[in-house]
Amino acid sequence: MFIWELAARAEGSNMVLFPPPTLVVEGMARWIESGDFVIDLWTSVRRVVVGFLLGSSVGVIMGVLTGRVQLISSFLSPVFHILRPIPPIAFIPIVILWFGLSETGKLFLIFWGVYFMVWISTHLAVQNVDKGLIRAAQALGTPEHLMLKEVIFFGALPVIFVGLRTSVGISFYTLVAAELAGTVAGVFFRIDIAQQNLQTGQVLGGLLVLGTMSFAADRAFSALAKKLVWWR
Amino acid sequence: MVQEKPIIDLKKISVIFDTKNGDFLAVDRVSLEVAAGEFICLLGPSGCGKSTVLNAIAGFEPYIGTISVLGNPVFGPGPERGMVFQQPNLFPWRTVRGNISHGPRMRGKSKEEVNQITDDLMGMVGLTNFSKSYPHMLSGGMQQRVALARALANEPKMLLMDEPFGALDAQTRSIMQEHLLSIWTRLNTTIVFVTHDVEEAIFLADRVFIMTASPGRIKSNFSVDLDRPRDMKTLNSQTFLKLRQHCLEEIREESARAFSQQGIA
Repeated sequence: MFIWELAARAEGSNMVLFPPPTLVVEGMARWIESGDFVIDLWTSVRRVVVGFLLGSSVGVIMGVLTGRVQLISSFLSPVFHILRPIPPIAFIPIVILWFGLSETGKLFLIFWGVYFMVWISTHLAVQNVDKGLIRAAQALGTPEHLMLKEVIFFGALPVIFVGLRTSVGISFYTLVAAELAGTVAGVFFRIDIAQQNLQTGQVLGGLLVLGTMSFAADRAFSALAKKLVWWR
Repeated sequence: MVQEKPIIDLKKISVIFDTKNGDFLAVDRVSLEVAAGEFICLLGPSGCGKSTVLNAIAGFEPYIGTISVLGNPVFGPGPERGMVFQQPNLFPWRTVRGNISHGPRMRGKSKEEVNQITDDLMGMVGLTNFSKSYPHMLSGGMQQRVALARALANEPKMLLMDEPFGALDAQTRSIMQEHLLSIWTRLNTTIVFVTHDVEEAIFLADRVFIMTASPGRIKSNFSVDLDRPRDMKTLNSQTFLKLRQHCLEEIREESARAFSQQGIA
Protein backbone atom coordinates (compact mmCIF):
# COMPACT_ATOMS: atom_id res chain seq x y z
CA MET A 1 0.00 0.00 0.00
CA PHE A 2 2.86 2.29 1.00
CA ILE A 3 4.79 1.46 -2.15
CA TRP A 4 1.67 2.08 -4.21
CA GLU A 5 1.30 5.52 -2.58
CA LEU A 6 4.97 6.37 -3.27
CA ALA A 7 4.91 5.08 -6.80
CA ALA A 8 1.76 7.02 -7.65
CA ARG A 9 3.22 10.23 -6.25
CA ALA A 10 6.64 9.73 -7.80
CA GLU A 11 8.00 12.08 -10.44
CA GLY A 12 6.68 11.17 -13.88
CA SER A 13 3.59 9.22 -12.84
CA ASN A 14 0.17 10.57 -13.66
CA MET A 15 -2.07 10.83 -10.59
CA VAL A 16 -5.19 11.04 -12.73
CA LEU A 17 -4.50 7.75 -14.52
CA PHE A 18 -2.89 6.03 -11.57
CA PRO A 19 -4.20 7.51 -8.31
CA PRO A 20 -2.56 6.71 -4.95
CA PRO A 21 -4.57 4.97 -2.22
CA THR A 22 -5.21 8.25 -0.44
CA LEU A 23 -7.12 9.51 -3.47
CA VAL A 24 -9.07 6.26 -3.64
CA VAL A 25 -10.06 6.71 0.02
CA GLU A 26 -10.93 10.32 -0.66
CA GLY A 27 -13.08 9.33 -3.64
CA MET A 28 -14.84 6.72 -1.53
CA ALA A 29 -15.43 9.24 1.26
CA ARG A 30 -16.98 11.73 -1.14
CA TRP A 31 -19.14 8.97 -2.58
CA ILE A 32 -20.41 7.94 0.82
CA GLU A 33 -20.86 11.51 2.07
CA SER A 34 -23.00 12.51 -0.90
CA GLY A 35 -25.49 9.75 0.02
CA ASP A 36 -25.11 8.22 -3.45
CA PHE A 37 -23.18 5.24 -2.13
CA VAL A 38 -26.09 3.78 -0.16
CA ILE A 39 -28.46 4.27 -3.08
CA ASP A 40 -25.98 2.79 -5.59
CA LEU A 41 -25.21 -0.19 -3.39
CA TRP A 42 -28.86 -0.84 -2.63
CA THR A 43 -29.86 -0.54 -6.29
CA SER A 44 -27.15 -2.96 -7.44
CA VAL A 45 -27.74 -5.46 -4.65
CA ARG A 46 -31.45 -5.46 -5.34
CA ARG A 47 -30.87 -6.07 -9.06
CA VAL A 48 -28.53 -8.97 -8.37
CA VAL A 49 -30.75 -10.54 -5.71
CA VAL A 50 -34.00 -10.26 -7.63
CA GLY A 51 -32.42 -11.27 -10.95
CA PHE A 52 -30.64 -14.21 -9.32
CA LEU A 53 -33.73 -15.44 -7.49
CA LEU A 54 -35.88 -15.22 -10.63
CA GLY A 55 -33.29 -16.82 -12.89
CA SER A 56 -32.39 -19.60 -10.50
CA SER A 57 -35.93 -20.53 -9.51
CA VAL A 58 -37.15 -20.68 -13.10
CA GLY A 59 -33.89 -22.45 -14.03
CA VAL A 60 -34.34 -25.16 -11.39
CA ILE A 61 -37.97 -25.73 -12.34
CA MET A 62 -37.22 -25.94 -16.08
CA GLY A 63 -34.16 -28.13 -15.42
CA VAL A 64 -36.25 -30.60 -13.45
CA LEU A 65 -38.89 -30.62 -16.19
CA THR A 66 -36.51 -31.15 -19.11
CA GLY A 67 -34.38 -33.53 -17.04
CA ARG A 68 -37.34 -35.71 -16.10
CA VAL A 69 -39.82 -35.45 -18.97
CA GLN A 70 -38.45 -36.52 -22.32
CA LEU A 71 -41.28 -34.90 -24.27
CA ILE A 72 -40.66 -31.45 -22.74
CA SER A 73 -36.94 -31.87 -23.23
CA SER A 74 -37.40 -32.67 -26.94
CA PHE A 75 -39.25 -29.40 -27.41
CA LEU A 76 -37.30 -27.03 -25.22
CA SER A 77 -33.73 -28.28 -24.90
CA PRO A 78 -32.74 -27.52 -28.52
CA VAL A 79 -34.06 -23.95 -28.14
CA PHE A 80 -32.20 -23.47 -24.87
CA HIS A 81 -29.01 -24.88 -26.32
CA ILE A 82 -29.12 -22.32 -29.13
CA LEU A 83 -29.87 -19.38 -26.80
CA ARG A 84 -27.49 -20.43 -24.01
CA PRO A 85 -24.14 -19.48 -25.60
CA ILE A 86 -25.24 -15.94 -26.54
CA PRO A 87 -23.54 -13.58 -24.05
CA PRO A 88 -26.14 -11.58 -22.07
CA ILE A 89 -24.36 -8.34 -23.00
CA ALA A 90 -25.31 -8.95 -26.64
CA PHE A 91 -28.94 -8.55 -25.65
CA ILE A 92 -28.55 -4.96 -24.46
CA PRO A 93 -29.79 -3.38 -27.73
CA ILE A 94 -32.89 -5.55 -27.89
CA VAL A 95 -33.51 -5.17 -24.16
CA ILE A 96 -33.50 -1.39 -24.58
CA LEU A 97 -36.00 -1.72 -27.42
CA TRP A 98 -38.22 -4.05 -25.42
CA PHE A 99 -38.04 -2.58 -21.95
CA GLY A 100 -36.64 0.92 -22.53
CA LEU A 101 -34.40 2.05 -19.70
CA SER A 102 -36.67 0.48 -17.09
CA GLU A 103 -35.65 -1.65 -14.15
CA THR A 104 -37.32 -4.66 -15.80
CA GLY A 105 -34.72 -4.58 -18.55
CA LYS A 106 -31.88 -4.76 -16.01
CA LEU A 107 -33.52 -7.67 -14.21
CA PHE A 108 -34.12 -9.39 -17.52
CA LEU A 109 -30.40 -9.33 -18.35
CA ILE A 110 -29.39 -10.81 -15.00
CA PHE A 111 -32.20 -13.33 -15.23
CA TRP A 112 -30.96 -14.32 -18.67
CA GLY A 113 -27.37 -14.82 -17.49
CA VAL A 114 -28.37 -16.84 -14.44
CA TYR A 115 -31.17 -18.85 -16.00
CA PHE A 116 -29.18 -20.88 -18.54
CA MET A 117 -26.42 -21.82 -16.14
CA VAL A 118 -28.93 -23.03 -13.57
CA TRP A 119 -31.09 -24.76 -16.17
CA ILE A 120 -28.23 -26.77 -17.70
CA SER A 121 -26.75 -27.78 -14.36
CA THR A 122 -30.14 -28.83 -12.98
CA HIS A 123 -30.96 -30.70 -16.19
CA LEU A 124 -27.70 -32.65 -16.03
CA ALA A 125 -27.90 -33.14 -12.26
CA VAL A 126 -31.38 -34.63 -12.50
CA GLN A 127 -30.39 -36.92 -15.36
CA ASN A 128 -27.26 -38.15 -13.63
CA VAL A 129 -28.60 -39.08 -10.21
CA ASP A 130 -26.84 -42.26 -9.06
CA LYS A 131 -28.69 -45.18 -10.72
CA GLY A 132 -27.97 -47.31 -7.67
CA LEU A 133 -30.01 -44.99 -5.46
CA ILE A 134 -32.88 -45.01 -7.93
CA ARG A 135 -32.86 -48.80 -8.09
CA ALA A 136 -32.70 -49.06 -4.32
CA ALA A 137 -35.68 -46.71 -4.03
CA GLN A 138 -37.65 -48.69 -6.64
CA ALA A 139 -36.91 -51.99 -4.92
CA LEU A 140 -38.15 -50.46 -1.66
CA GLY A 141 -41.51 -49.73 -3.27
CA THR A 142 -41.14 -45.95 -3.73
CA PRO A 143 -44.10 -44.93 -5.90
CA GLU A 144 -43.17 -43.16 -9.13
CA HIS A 145 -44.83 -39.88 -8.10
CA LEU A 146 -42.74 -39.66 -4.91
CA MET A 147 -39.48 -40.47 -6.69
CA LEU A 148 -38.75 -36.82 -7.51
CA LYS A 149 -39.30 -35.55 -3.98
CA GLU A 150 -37.69 -38.47 -2.17
CA VAL A 151 -34.69 -39.37 -4.32
CA ILE A 152 -34.11 -37.35 -7.51
CA PHE A 153 -34.25 -33.95 -5.83
CA PHE A 154 -31.78 -34.76 -3.06
CA GLY A 155 -29.62 -36.82 -5.38
CA ALA A 156 -29.34 -33.87 -7.77
CA LEU A 157 -28.96 -31.16 -5.14
CA PRO A 158 -25.14 -31.17 -4.81
CA VAL A 159 -24.69 -30.58 -8.56
CA ILE A 160 -27.53 -28.05 -8.69
CA PHE A 161 -25.71 -26.08 -6.02
CA VAL A 162 -22.52 -26.02 -8.07
CA GLY A 163 -24.57 -24.43 -10.86
CA LEU A 164 -26.19 -21.98 -8.47
CA ARG A 165 -22.86 -20.91 -7.02
CA THR A 166 -21.42 -20.32 -10.50
CA SER A 167 -24.51 -18.24 -11.22
CA VAL A 168 -23.85 -16.00 -8.25
CA GLY A 169 -20.68 -14.90 -10.07
CA ILE A 170 -22.54 -14.66 -13.38
CA SER A 171 -25.18 -12.39 -11.85
CA PHE A 172 -22.43 -9.87 -11.04
CA TYR A 173 -21.00 -10.01 -14.58
CA THR A 174 -24.44 -9.37 -16.01
CA LEU A 175 -25.05 -6.63 -13.46
CA VAL A 176 -22.23 -4.68 -15.11
CA ALA A 177 -23.76 -5.24 -18.52
CA ALA A 178 -27.17 -4.24 -17.19
CA GLU A 179 -25.88 -1.00 -15.71
CA LEU A 180 -24.27 -0.11 -19.04
CA ALA A 181 -27.75 -0.16 -20.55
CA GLY A 182 -28.80 3.26 -19.29
CA THR A 183 -29.60 3.78 -15.63
CA VAL A 184 -29.49 6.45 -12.93
CA ALA A 185 -28.00 4.51 -10.03
CA GLY A 186 -25.86 1.46 -9.28
CA VAL A 187 -22.27 0.65 -8.37
CA PHE A 188 -21.12 0.17 -11.95
CA PHE A 189 -23.12 3.18 -13.13
CA ARG A 190 -21.14 5.25 -10.58
CA ILE A 191 -17.85 3.82 -11.87
CA ASP A 192 -18.87 4.84 -15.38
CA ILE A 193 -19.79 8.38 -14.28
CA ALA A 194 -16.60 8.77 -12.23
CA GLN A 195 -14.58 7.74 -15.27
CA GLN A 196 -16.25 10.41 -17.40
CA ASN A 197 -15.35 12.97 -14.71
CA LEU A 198 -11.80 11.65 -14.53
CA GLN A 199 -12.33 10.80 -10.83
CA THR A 200 -10.06 7.81 -11.08
CA GLY A 201 -9.90 7.40 -7.31
CA GLN A 202 -13.61 6.75 -7.23
CA VAL A 203 -13.35 4.42 -10.24
CA LEU A 204 -10.89 2.24 -8.37
CA GLY A 205 -12.97 2.50 -5.21
CA GLY A 206 -16.02 1.36 -7.17
CA LEU A 207 -14.14 -1.62 -8.55
CA LEU A 208 -13.16 -2.61 -5.02
CA VAL A 209 -16.78 -2.35 -3.91
CA LEU A 210 -17.87 -4.52 -6.85
CA GLY A 211 -15.22 -7.10 -6.00
CA THR A 212 -16.14 -7.10 -2.33
CA MET A 213 -19.84 -7.52 -3.12
CA SER A 214 -19.20 -10.45 -5.41
CA PHE A 215 -16.79 -12.06 -2.94
CA ALA A 216 -19.18 -11.64 -0.01
CA ALA A 217 -22.07 -13.04 -2.04
CA ASP A 218 -20.01 -16.08 -3.04
CA ARG A 219 -18.96 -16.74 0.55
CA ALA A 220 -22.46 -16.30 1.88
CA PHE A 221 -23.81 -18.64 -0.77
CA SER A 222 -21.20 -21.25 -0.05
CA ALA A 223 -22.11 -21.14 3.66
CA LEU A 224 -25.77 -21.49 2.77
CA ALA A 225 -25.00 -24.44 0.48
CA LYS A 226 -23.19 -26.22 3.31
CA LYS A 227 -26.35 -25.95 5.38
CA LEU A 228 -28.72 -27.03 2.62
CA VAL A 229 -26.59 -29.92 1.35
CA TRP A 230 -26.07 -31.05 4.92
CA TRP A 231 -24.87 -34.58 4.19
CA ARG A 232 -21.77 -33.54 2.27
CA MET B 1 -49.64 -78.92 -2.21
CA VAL B 2 -49.37 -75.16 -2.19
CA GLN B 3 -45.97 -75.41 -0.51
CA GLU B 4 -44.67 -77.47 -3.41
CA LYS B 5 -44.89 -74.45 -5.69
CA PRO B 6 -41.57 -72.63 -6.00
CA ILE B 7 -41.55 -69.06 -4.69
CA ILE B 8 -39.22 -68.03 -7.54
CA ASP B 9 -39.49 -69.80 -10.85
CA LEU B 10 -37.25 -69.02 -13.84
CA LYS B 11 -38.01 -70.79 -17.10
CA LYS B 12 -35.42 -70.46 -19.84
CA ILE B 13 -34.69 -66.81 -19.33
CA SER B 14 -32.25 -65.02 -21.60
CA VAL B 15 -30.95 -61.49 -21.40
CA ILE B 16 -29.45 -59.67 -24.36
CA PHE B 17 -27.37 -56.54 -23.94
CA ASP B 18 -27.26 -53.93 -26.65
CA THR B 19 -23.55 -53.03 -26.85
CA LYS B 20 -21.45 -50.96 -29.21
CA ASN B 21 -20.23 -54.16 -30.83
CA GLY B 22 -23.74 -55.42 -31.41
CA ASP B 23 -25.97 -57.68 -29.34
CA PHE B 24 -24.39 -59.61 -26.54
CA LEU B 25 -26.01 -62.68 -25.02
CA ALA B 26 -25.42 -62.13 -21.30
CA VAL B 27 -27.70 -64.85 -20.01
CA ASP B 28 -28.60 -67.92 -22.02
CA ARG B 29 -31.74 -69.91 -21.16
CA VAL B 30 -31.30 -70.07 -17.42
CA SER B 31 -33.89 -72.08 -15.52
CA LEU B 32 -34.07 -72.45 -11.77
CA GLU B 33 -36.61 -72.88 -9.01
CA VAL B 34 -36.32 -71.66 -5.47
CA ALA B 35 -38.53 -73.10 -2.74
CA ALA B 36 -39.92 -70.93 0.03
CA GLY B 37 -37.45 -70.62 2.89
CA GLU B 38 -34.53 -71.78 0.78
CA PHE B 39 -31.11 -70.10 0.66
CA ILE B 40 -29.56 -70.44 -2.78
CA CYS B 41 -26.32 -69.06 -4.17
CA LEU B 42 -25.47 -68.21 -7.75
CA LEU B 43 -21.74 -68.81 -8.02
CA GLY B 44 -19.52 -67.92 -10.93
CA PRO B 45 -16.63 -65.84 -12.20
CA SER B 46 -17.11 -62.12 -12.77
CA GLY B 47 -18.92 -61.35 -15.99
CA CYS B 48 -20.75 -64.67 -16.07
CA GLY B 49 -24.17 -63.01 -15.88
CA LYS B 50 -25.08 -64.04 -12.33
CA SER B 51 -25.87 -60.46 -11.31
CA THR B 52 -27.87 -60.06 -14.50
CA VAL B 53 -30.02 -63.06 -13.53
CA LEU B 54 -30.56 -61.47 -10.11
CA ASN B 55 -31.45 -58.11 -11.68
CA ALA B 56 -33.95 -59.84 -13.92
CA ILE B 57 -35.63 -61.41 -10.88
CA ALA B 58 -35.57 -58.00 -9.17
CA GLY B 59 -37.30 -56.49 -12.20
CA PHE B 60 -34.47 -54.22 -13.33
CA GLU B 61 -33.48 -56.11 -16.46
CA PRO B 62 -35.72 -56.87 -19.44
CA TYR B 63 -35.56 -60.59 -20.23
CA ILE B 64 -36.83 -63.24 -22.60
CA GLY B 65 -38.58 -66.24 -21.06
CA THR B 66 -40.68 -66.36 -17.91
CA ILE B 67 -39.92 -65.37 -14.37
CA SER B 68 -42.63 -65.78 -11.81
CA VAL B 69 -42.36 -64.70 -8.23
CA LEU B 70 -45.07 -65.92 -5.84
CA GLY B 71 -46.87 -67.14 -8.95
CA ASN B 72 -46.93 -63.73 -10.66
CA PRO B 73 -44.87 -62.74 -13.69
CA VAL B 74 -42.15 -60.15 -13.07
CA PHE B 75 -42.55 -56.84 -14.92
CA GLY B 76 -40.67 -54.51 -12.60
CA PRO B 77 -39.29 -54.09 -9.11
CA GLY B 78 -41.54 -54.64 -6.11
CA PRO B 79 -41.31 -54.42 -2.34
CA GLU B 80 -41.96 -58.14 -1.83
CA ARG B 81 -38.44 -58.65 -3.24
CA GLY B 82 -35.94 -57.01 -0.89
CA MET B 83 -32.74 -56.06 -2.66
CA VAL B 84 -29.24 -55.67 -1.24
CA PHE B 85 -26.58 -54.44 -3.68
CA GLN B 86 -22.81 -54.71 -3.70
CA GLN B 87 -22.71 -50.97 -3.00
CA PRO B 88 -24.85 -50.17 0.03
CA ASN B 89 -26.70 -47.52 -2.07
CA LEU B 90 -27.90 -45.80 1.09
CA PHE B 91 -29.53 -42.41 0.73
CA PRO B 92 -26.68 -40.15 1.87
CA TRP B 93 -29.07 -37.36 2.90
CA ARG B 94 -30.90 -39.55 5.39
CA THR B 95 -29.80 -40.90 8.74
CA VAL B 96 -29.63 -44.61 9.54
CA ARG B 97 -33.18 -44.36 10.88
CA GLY B 98 -34.34 -42.44 7.81
CA ASN B 99 -32.85 -45.04 5.48
CA ILE B 100 -34.33 -48.04 7.29
CA SER B 101 -37.76 -46.44 7.59
CA HIS B 102 -37.89 -45.48 3.89
CA GLY B 103 -39.75 -48.57 2.65
CA PRO B 104 -42.53 -48.62 5.26
CA ARG B 105 -42.94 -44.85 4.91
CA MET B 106 -43.30 -45.14 1.16
CA ARG B 107 -45.90 -47.84 1.57
CA GLY B 108 -48.06 -45.64 3.76
CA LYS B 109 -47.60 -47.32 7.14
CA SER B 110 -48.65 -45.30 10.17
CA LYS B 111 -46.02 -43.39 12.08
CA GLU B 112 -46.18 -45.81 15.04
CA GLU B 113 -45.76 -48.82 12.78
CA VAL B 114 -42.83 -47.22 10.95
CA ASN B 115 -41.08 -46.43 14.24
CA GLN B 116 -41.76 -49.91 15.61
CA ILE B 117 -40.37 -51.67 12.54
CA THR B 118 -37.35 -49.36 12.39
CA ASP B 119 -36.50 -49.79 16.06
CA ASP B 120 -36.78 -53.57 15.80
CA LEU B 121 -34.50 -53.73 12.76
CA MET B 122 -31.90 -51.36 14.17
CA GLY B 123 -31.74 -53.70 17.15
CA MET B 124 -31.52 -56.75 14.91
CA VAL B 125 -28.52 -55.41 12.98
CA GLY B 126 -27.00 -53.86 16.12
CA LEU B 127 -27.12 -50.23 15.05
CA THR B 128 -29.49 -48.78 17.64
CA ASN B 129 -26.79 -46.39 18.86
CA PHE B 130 -26.21 -45.10 15.35
CA SER B 131 -29.79 -44.23 14.49
CA LYS B 132 -28.94 -40.54 14.00
CA SER B 133 -25.70 -41.10 12.05
CA TYR B 134 -25.41 -40.39 8.35
CA PRO B 135 -24.14 -43.17 6.06
CA HIS B 136 -20.77 -41.51 5.37
CA MET B 137 -19.98 -41.69 9.09
CA LEU B 138 -20.29 -45.50 9.10
CA SER B 139 -17.83 -48.25 8.14
CA GLY B 140 -18.49 -50.40 5.07
CA GLY B 141 -19.79 -53.28 7.19
CA MET B 142 -22.16 -51.02 9.11
CA GLN B 143 -23.42 -49.46 5.89
CA GLN B 144 -24.20 -52.90 4.53
CA ARG B 145 -26.04 -53.77 7.76
CA VAL B 146 -28.17 -50.64 7.27
CA ALA B 147 -28.83 -51.70 3.67
CA LEU B 148 -29.91 -55.15 4.89
CA ALA B 149 -32.18 -53.66 7.56
CA ARG B 150 -33.63 -51.24 5.01
CA ALA B 151 -34.51 -54.13 2.69
CA LEU B 152 -35.99 -56.15 5.58
CA ALA B 153 -38.14 -53.22 6.73
CA ASN B 154 -40.63 -54.00 3.96
CA GLU B 155 -41.03 -57.52 5.37
CA PRO B 156 -40.18 -58.91 1.94
CA LYS B 157 -41.03 -62.48 0.99
CA MET B 158 -37.46 -62.91 -0.27
CA LEU B 159 -34.09 -61.20 -0.30
CA LEU B 160 -32.07 -60.78 -3.47
CA MET B 161 -28.44 -60.10 -2.61
CA ASP B 162 -25.85 -59.08 -5.18
CA GLU B 163 -22.37 -59.75 -3.78
CA PRO B 164 -23.31 -57.74 -0.71
CA PHE B 165 -20.13 -58.55 1.18
CA GLY B 166 -17.78 -58.32 -1.80
CA ALA B 167 -16.33 -54.97 -0.79
CA LEU B 168 -15.75 -55.87 2.88
CA ASP B 169 -12.54 -57.08 4.51
CA ALA B 170 -12.26 -60.79 5.33
CA GLN B 171 -13.03 -60.48 9.07
CA THR B 172 -16.07 -58.29 8.59
CA ARG B 173 -17.27 -60.50 5.76
CA SER B 174 -17.20 -63.65 7.88
CA ILE B 175 -19.07 -61.90 10.71
CA MET B 176 -21.65 -60.60 8.25
CA GLN B 177 -22.14 -64.09 6.82
CA GLU B 178 -22.95 -65.56 10.23
CA HIS B 179 -25.13 -62.57 11.00
CA LEU B 180 -27.05 -63.04 7.76
CA LEU B 181 -27.60 -66.74 8.50
CA SER B 182 -29.00 -65.99 11.93
CA ILE B 183 -31.38 -63.36 10.50
CA TRP B 184 -32.42 -65.76 7.74
CA THR B 185 -33.19 -68.45 10.34
CA ARG B 186 -35.06 -66.04 12.58
CA LEU B 187 -37.20 -64.52 9.83
CA ASN B 188 -37.62 -67.75 7.90
CA THR B 189 -37.25 -65.87 4.61
CA THR B 190 -35.98 -66.93 1.18
CA ILE B 191 -32.62 -65.72 -0.11
CA VAL B 192 -31.01 -65.64 -3.55
CA PHE B 193 -27.38 -64.69 -3.05
CA VAL B 194 -24.91 -63.90 -5.83
CA THR B 195 -21.19 -64.37 -5.20
CA HIS B 196 -17.93 -65.30 -6.88
CA ASP B 197 -16.51 -66.62 -3.61
CA VAL B 198 -16.69 -70.44 -3.49
CA GLU B 199 -16.38 -70.69 0.29
CA GLU B 200 -18.99 -68.02 0.87
CA ALA B 201 -21.44 -69.84 -1.40
CA ILE B 202 -21.00 -73.21 0.32
CA PHE B 203 -21.02 -71.73 3.81
CA LEU B 204 -24.31 -69.90 3.25
CA ALA B 205 -26.41 -71.90 0.84
CA ASP B 206 -28.78 -74.84 0.83
CA ARG B 207 -28.12 -75.18 -2.88
CA VAL B 208 -25.40 -73.71 -5.08
CA PHE B 209 -25.81 -73.02 -8.81
CA ILE B 210 -22.54 -72.76 -10.69
CA MET B 211 -22.65 -70.41 -13.65
CA THR B 212 -20.32 -70.15 -16.63
CA ALA B 213 -19.44 -67.12 -18.67
CA SER B 214 -20.23 -65.95 -22.22
CA PRO B 215 -22.93 -66.83 -22.62
CA GLY B 216 -24.09 -66.99 -18.99
CA ARG B 217 -25.44 -70.46 -18.32
CA ILE B 218 -26.02 -72.66 -15.34
CA LYS B 219 -23.44 -75.42 -15.56
CA SER B 220 -24.48 -77.49 -12.57
CA ASN B 221 -26.01 -77.30 -9.15
CA PHE B 222 -25.60 -79.22 -5.93
CA SER B 223 -27.11 -79.33 -2.45
CA VAL B 224 -25.00 -78.43 0.53
CA ASP B 225 -25.52 -81.09 3.19
CA LEU B 226 -24.00 -79.22 6.06
CA ASP B 227 -25.74 -79.00 9.43
CA ARG B 228 -27.11 -75.71 10.60
CA PRO B 229 -26.40 -73.55 12.44
CA ARG B 230 -23.08 -73.20 10.67
CA ASP B 231 -20.07 -71.42 12.13
CA MET B 232 -16.29 -71.18 11.78
CA LYS B 233 -15.91 -74.91 12.49
CA THR B 234 -18.07 -75.72 9.48
CA LEU B 235 -15.28 -74.42 7.27
CA ASN B 236 -12.99 -77.27 8.38
CA SER B 237 -15.47 -80.12 8.11
CA GLN B 238 -14.84 -82.92 5.61
CA THR B 239 -18.08 -82.24 3.75
CA PHE B 240 -17.22 -78.57 3.34
CA LEU B 241 -13.75 -79.30 2.03
CA LYS B 242 -15.03 -81.89 -0.39
CA LEU B 243 -17.70 -79.55 -1.78
CA ARG B 244 -15.14 -76.81 -2.07
CA GLN B 245 -12.83 -79.09 -4.04
CA HIS B 246 -15.69 -80.08 -6.32
CA CYS B 247 -16.65 -76.46 -6.92
CA LEU B 248 -13.13 -75.33 -7.63
CA GLU B 249 -12.66 -78.09 -10.19
CA GLU B 250 -15.88 -77.19 -11.99
CA ILE B 251 -15.00 -73.53 -12.09
CA ARG B 252 -11.42 -74.18 -13.05
CA GLU B 253 -12.49 -76.25 -16.01
CA GLU B 254 -14.68 -73.36 -17.06
CA SER B 255 -12.01 -70.72 -16.54
CA ALA B 256 -9.56 -72.77 -18.58
CA ARG B 257 -12.08 -73.03 -21.39
CA ALA B 258 -12.77 -69.29 -21.29
CA PHE B 259 -9.06 -68.60 -21.21
CA SER B 260 -8.30 -70.72 -24.27
CA GLN B 261 -11.27 -69.15 -26.09
CA GLN B 262 -9.83 -65.73 -25.43
CA GLY B 263 -6.48 -66.97 -26.68
CA ILE B 264 -7.99 -67.98 -30.01
CA ALA B 265 -10.01 -64.78 -30.30
